[in-house]
Amino acid sequence: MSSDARATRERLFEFVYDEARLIDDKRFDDWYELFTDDGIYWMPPDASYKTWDGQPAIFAEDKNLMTVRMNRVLHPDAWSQRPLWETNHVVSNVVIEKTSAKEIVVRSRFHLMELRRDDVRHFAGSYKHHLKKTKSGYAIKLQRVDMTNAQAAYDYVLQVWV
Amino acid sequence: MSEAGRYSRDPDAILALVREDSVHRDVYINQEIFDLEMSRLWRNTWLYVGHDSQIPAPGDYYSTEIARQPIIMLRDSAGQVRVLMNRCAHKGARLVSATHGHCESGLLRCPYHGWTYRLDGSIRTIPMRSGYEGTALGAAPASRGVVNLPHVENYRGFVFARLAEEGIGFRDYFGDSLTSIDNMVDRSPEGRLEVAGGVLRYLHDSNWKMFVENLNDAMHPMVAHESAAGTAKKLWAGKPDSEPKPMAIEQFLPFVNGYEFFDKMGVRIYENGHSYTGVKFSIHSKYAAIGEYERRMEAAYGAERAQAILGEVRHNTVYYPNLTIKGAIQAIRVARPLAPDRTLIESWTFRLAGAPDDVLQRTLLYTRLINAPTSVVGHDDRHCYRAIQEGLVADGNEWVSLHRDYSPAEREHIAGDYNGTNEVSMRGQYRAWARFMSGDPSGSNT
Repeated sequence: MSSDARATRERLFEFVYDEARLIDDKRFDDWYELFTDDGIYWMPPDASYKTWDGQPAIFAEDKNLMTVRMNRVLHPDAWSQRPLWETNHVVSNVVIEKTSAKEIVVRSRFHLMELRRDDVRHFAGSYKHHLKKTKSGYAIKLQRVDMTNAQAAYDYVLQVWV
Repeated sequence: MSEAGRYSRDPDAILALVREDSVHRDVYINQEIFDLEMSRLWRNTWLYVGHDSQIPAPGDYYSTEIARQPIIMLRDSAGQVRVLMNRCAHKGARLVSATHGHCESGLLRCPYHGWTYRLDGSIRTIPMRSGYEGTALGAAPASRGVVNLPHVENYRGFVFARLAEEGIGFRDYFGDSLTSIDNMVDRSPEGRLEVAGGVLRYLHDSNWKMFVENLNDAMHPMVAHESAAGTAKKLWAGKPDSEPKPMAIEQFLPFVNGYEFFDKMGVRIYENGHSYTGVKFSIHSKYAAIGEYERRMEAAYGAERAQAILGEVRHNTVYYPNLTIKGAIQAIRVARPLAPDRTLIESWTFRLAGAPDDVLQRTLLYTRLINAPTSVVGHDDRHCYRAIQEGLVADGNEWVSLHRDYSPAEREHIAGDYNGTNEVSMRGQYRAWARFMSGDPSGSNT
């Protein structure tokens, strides 16, 4: 691997790790900035789905909806968010699936531990980051999140992005 | 706490839980009451099973549970929808494990000993059948094959079943509340709905009735949903009226309308616990028109009838006890009680056959915003249901108040139109509840 390729690889790995860290740190404003203006955060209810468009989704949010979710979670009357919760992501098995001038695709696996008062829950699955190169680094055009238990019945816990 | 078996033995003890204007906490938290609800209320009423578009071809099946009974909804070789018990006639194994699929070669085959059944439930083959020669198998229930539910009704694609052998008929049970399903289906230029993709499933750690009651509770949105819908409202604040609203904003905003809006929209009560809010208008009334859709509706029905269909914008209709629909936005939620404090909700979205894609986009967005496990609105509701479940164990007050706008005239006749913030829909549900629960399988007034 050339040193250039190695540096690119490093940067992409960092990007994926940082994305998860911003959620754990509740730096939602900064997380939001990772997306392109038409960026989408998508979680399909079934791994077979090819697009978020035209079918049900657990999440399918543009920046408008991200803003609503972010402000709502931090709203003083968000009763269901009291007390605040904590999350802990572990992201691993990062693979760069595609690098072209148009698009970079990075696949990874995650494990998410979520704490809500006395309740601990675990979620696992995979991420697929569809990225675009920008002046300062990368931006997310589409983040696909496949939960391993996508067809399970969820307790209402997914109030922030996974 | 009551002694074990008290409610099973004594119908009067059950009747004492429901007053005209309040209910005892045991209806939500008592295990014996929950078990009796399944065997008396749910078993004797008409329960929603699924939509026939989930099983378009002969041999297609969908498996689920109603009132804790495992069932298979399938399309038989004649194209009729049947509901069968998901139980092999032989040793009782569940016949299908997948939630949906197709019966290969038009047969159901037990995974244990390989008995096969035709799509009408009758036995086709038994391996080594000679082993039953000279036995009384022919006289045993096993020889009759898979149990067919005798009372199944496919109402415009919505498949309902009654588990009890004897009881109230489908039309008598639902009456004119079926007009809500009519309106949902009529909104298709072809008069037909199709399930759009898969189901979204989520759990409430609370009693099923809290979910059902909430759907016609018009006093909570402006309080419970302030953080969600209020945030969306703030996002849009200061924009001129002339600027078209993004669909998400349009869908969020009405949740924080004031009391007057929710009171004036009205609620219509039917017998047997059914009702809908949004008699005059609803939170769905102000969605921007989709021109192409209206043109197709007018072409299909004529201008006058098309406007009448689209002018009916009911909010939530409760088909007591397990189905709730939003005809105006083509979304439904099905309640599946698991325990006194555990309820599974299944959320489905529908495509209006013959309508442009924009209509489906609106439906899908609504489902994501409101009827999904990630919903910021639903999470507030879920939090409140759980808070009730935890709060009700507090001693000193064992009664839940349903007094708002109560009038003694309801005693004679409850069906009719009321102001929207009235708690009459819940009182109507408990009237039906008390009748079925006290042991009258027809649920009739005595």
